[in-house]
Amino acid sequence: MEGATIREVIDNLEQTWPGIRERLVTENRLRSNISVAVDGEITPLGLLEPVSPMSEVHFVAAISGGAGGPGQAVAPESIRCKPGRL
Amino acid sequence: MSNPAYRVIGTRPIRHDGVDKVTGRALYGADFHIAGLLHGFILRSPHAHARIRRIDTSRAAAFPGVKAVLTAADFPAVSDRVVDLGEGATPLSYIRGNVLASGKVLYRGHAVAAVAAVNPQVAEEAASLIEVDYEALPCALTAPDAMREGAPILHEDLRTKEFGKQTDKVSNVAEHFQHALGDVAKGFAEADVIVEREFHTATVHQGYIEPHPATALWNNDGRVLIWCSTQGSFVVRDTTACILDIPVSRVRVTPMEIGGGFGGKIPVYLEPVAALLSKKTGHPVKIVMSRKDVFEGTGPTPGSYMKVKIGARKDGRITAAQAYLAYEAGAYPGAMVGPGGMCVFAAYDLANVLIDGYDVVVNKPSTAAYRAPGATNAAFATETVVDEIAEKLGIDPIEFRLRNAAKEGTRRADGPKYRRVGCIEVLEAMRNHPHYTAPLGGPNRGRGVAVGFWFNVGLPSSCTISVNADGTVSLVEGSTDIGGTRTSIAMQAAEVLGIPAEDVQPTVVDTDSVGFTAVTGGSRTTFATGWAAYEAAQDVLRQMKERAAKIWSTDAAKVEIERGVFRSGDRTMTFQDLAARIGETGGPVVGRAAVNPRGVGGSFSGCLADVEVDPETGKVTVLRFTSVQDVGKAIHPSYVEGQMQGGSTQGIGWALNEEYYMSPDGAMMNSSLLDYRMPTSLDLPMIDTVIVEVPNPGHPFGVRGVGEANIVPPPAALANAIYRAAGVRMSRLPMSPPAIMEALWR
Repeated sequence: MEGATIREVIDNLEQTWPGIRERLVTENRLRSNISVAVDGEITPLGLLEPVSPMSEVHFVAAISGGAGGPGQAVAPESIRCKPGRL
Repeated sequence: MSNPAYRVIGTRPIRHDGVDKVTGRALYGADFHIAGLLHGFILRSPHAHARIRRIDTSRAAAFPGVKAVLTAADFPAVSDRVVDLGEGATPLSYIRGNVLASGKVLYRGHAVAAVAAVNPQVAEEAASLIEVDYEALPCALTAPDAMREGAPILHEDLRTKEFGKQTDKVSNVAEHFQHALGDVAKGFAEADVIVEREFHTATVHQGYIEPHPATALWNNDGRVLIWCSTQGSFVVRDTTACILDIPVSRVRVTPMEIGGGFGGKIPVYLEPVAALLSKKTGHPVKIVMSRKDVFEGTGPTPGSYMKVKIGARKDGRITAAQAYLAYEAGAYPGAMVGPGGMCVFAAYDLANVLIDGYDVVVNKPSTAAYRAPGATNAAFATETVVDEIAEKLGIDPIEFRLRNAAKEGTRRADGPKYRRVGCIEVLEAMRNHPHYTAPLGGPNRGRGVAVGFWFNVGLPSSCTISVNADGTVSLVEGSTDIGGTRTSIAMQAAEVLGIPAEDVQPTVVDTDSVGFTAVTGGSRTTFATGWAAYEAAQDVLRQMKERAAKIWSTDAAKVEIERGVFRSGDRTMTFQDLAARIGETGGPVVGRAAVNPRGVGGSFSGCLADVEVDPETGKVTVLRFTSVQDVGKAIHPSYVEGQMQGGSTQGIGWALNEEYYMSPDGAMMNSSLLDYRMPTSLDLPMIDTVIVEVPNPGHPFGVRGVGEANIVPPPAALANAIYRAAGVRMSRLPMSPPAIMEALWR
C-alpha cells in the first residue's frame, strides 16, 4: 500500500476497501481505541507517523496504562500492509 | 547484574520515601485534612439490576448536621457524547453512570446518592433516610449467562460490535473480535495430539490495602482542588472536568501517597461526587470508602469463560492453537479481553492461530485493570493445556516450551513481530535453577511450571530537574510512587549526572506543577518517566557544560562530562563544584523533558511452584515458589524483586482462594478481607526471584517494565503442580479446598 505517512496509507486503503477509514479514524485522528505499530513498534504519532517503502503496519487494540473502567472499548483491527502488496 | 559501566544503575540505595513510609509520616489520602472539612457518604444499590423509579432525599436533607445531598440529577445537563480521557473512546453517560447511577442500577453496590455532613457517622445515618423506589430486574452474573438468548439486557442501547463494525443486535455482548494467523484447520489436521479444554475463572479484586479516599474543594475562585489516592492524577483531572463539564484548567489534582492500586485506582469514583458536594456546601468534602465499598463499588478484574485448543506433532512442535475468550466487563463495556487475546499465545512461535474474544456486560461492578489485565486468565488456560500436551508427548514441560518459544521476529496473532525479547532466556533460567531438580520430599506433592507475557506501555511523561548550589538536584515528576518508582526515576537521573542517587531529591507533584504525565500503570513508570528524567538530566548537563565553558573561557563543545566530572583539556571540575557557581555564571539551571517514548519492551515471566495437596481437606500448601522474569535492566534490583514477589503473591491468591462469592441475586457474600481470602506472609514461603536481563534495545538503559508479567503464570503453574500432586487437572479458579475436593471426588 502506497503512502508516506499512516494517514496516506489509510487514505489509500480506503480506495480499495471503502469504509475502512471510518473504522480507524475519527475527527481526523486515529480512533483512541486503536494503536498503530510500524515494523513492530507502537508509534505515539498515530496518523502522522512516517512510513518507509518496506514498512509493515499493524492496527492493533490500544493498550493504555493498564486501564479499564466503563466504556473501555476493545476493537482491535489487524491489517497487515506492505507497500505494493495487499 | 551491576554493570561496571554504571555507578548508580543496578545498586540498591534506600528509597527516598522509605523513612516516612516506615515511620507513619507519609501522607495518604485519608490523612489529608483542611479547615472546614465535611464528610461524605455514598448510598449504594442493594440490587444487582433495577430501574430507579424515584429518589426522595428530603428526609436526609432535613437530618441535623447534613449540609447537602446529591444524586445523578445534580450533574450538569449535557448531551451524551463519546469522550476520550486517554483510556479509549467512551460514552460520557457510561462514565457518569458509574459514578452515580441514572435511570438504572447495574450492580449491587452501584452508587446512587451521596450525603455531605458534619461527620461521617451523621452522613451515613442520613443516607439511610434516602428513599429509593426500585423496580428489581433479573440479573446476569456470568459471561455465558449474559450471552444466552433471552438473557436480561443491561443496556437497551448497547449494540454488538462485530469485527469492528456496529451491528443492530441488542445484546450484552459489546464486542466480538478475532485474530487469525495461518490456517488452524490445516494445523490441527497435522497434529499428532490435540487437547481442548474449557475454563472458568471467578471475579477477583486487586486487593489494595488502602481503600479509596478523596477530598475536594470547589474553591471560591471556581477552581476545583482534589487530593486523592490515584494511579493517574491527570486521569482524575480530565475525568472530573469532563463529568462536571468544566475546563481541565479549573481542576488541580494532588496525588497523595498510595497504598496499592494495581490498576484498580485508575478509574474515578469519588472525586466528582466530592467536588459537587463541595460546590453545594461551600466546604471541602472528604469521602473515604469502606472495605465493603471497595469490593462492591470499585473495579475488580473480569471473571471469564474460556476454551483453548492446541495441537502438536510428536516432535513437540505446536501446529495450531485456538482460543475462545468471553470476559465479564461488569456493568459497562470494557473487559480487558483485548489484551487477553493478545497475550493468550504470546509465549509461542506459531503459524496457525485463531482467537475469538468477547466483551460481555454482566450485573457486577464495572471491571478495571488488574496487573497485566486479561493475561492471567488467558495464561491459566493456555499453560495448563500446554502442560497436558507435553505430558501426553512425554516431553519435559520446559523443553516443550523451549521448542515453541517466541523470539525476535516471531509474529503474534494480533499482527506485530517481536523485537528482542527474553522468552527463551527465561525458560532456560527456569530449567537451570536448582528448584527445577530439587527433590519434592514427600507424598501428595507436585511441581508445576508456566510462563506468561505482558506488553508494557510507553505513554507520555514529563520531568524537570533543578540544580541546587550544594550540588544536589531537585527532580519534579508526576508519577504516583508505586513500588519505589520515585527512586528508580531518581537513579536514572543520577546516573546521567554522575552524582549519587541520594543527591537527587525526587518529588511527585500535582497536575499544575508538572507537564502531562500518564498513569502509574502498564509497567511504564520506570521506563517512561525514567526516560523523561534521563532526558531532563541530559538537558542539565548541556547547560552545565555552557557554565563550565564560561568559567574556562572556552567553547561548550570543548567541555566533556564523564561520571560527574567536567573536563576541558587538563582543567576539571566536579558537578558539585560547578553547581556552587551557577549563580555567578548565569543563574538557575533547570533541565526539562517531555517524552512519549517508543521502544517499549515486553516482558516474559515464568515460575516454578511446589505444592502439597491435603487429600482430606483439599488445602493446597505452597512449599516453594520461584519467579523468573526478563526485566531488561534492573534499575534498583530490590524493587524489581519486590515486584516479582508481589505479583507472584497476587497470582497465588488468585489461583488458590480469591473470588467474588456471589449469591444468585447478584450480592457479593464475602465483601470483607476476612472472607475474601488473600494470602499473607504466614501462608507463603519466601518467594525466590531470578532477574534475567535481556536489555530492551529501545531504552537508554535497556529497561523493560517489570510490574505486571509476574502475575500472569502463577495460577497455571499451581494448577500444573496440583495435577502432579493430586492427579486432577483443575479448570476453574480459584482452586480452593472445596474445589479440589470436588475434583478429587469426581
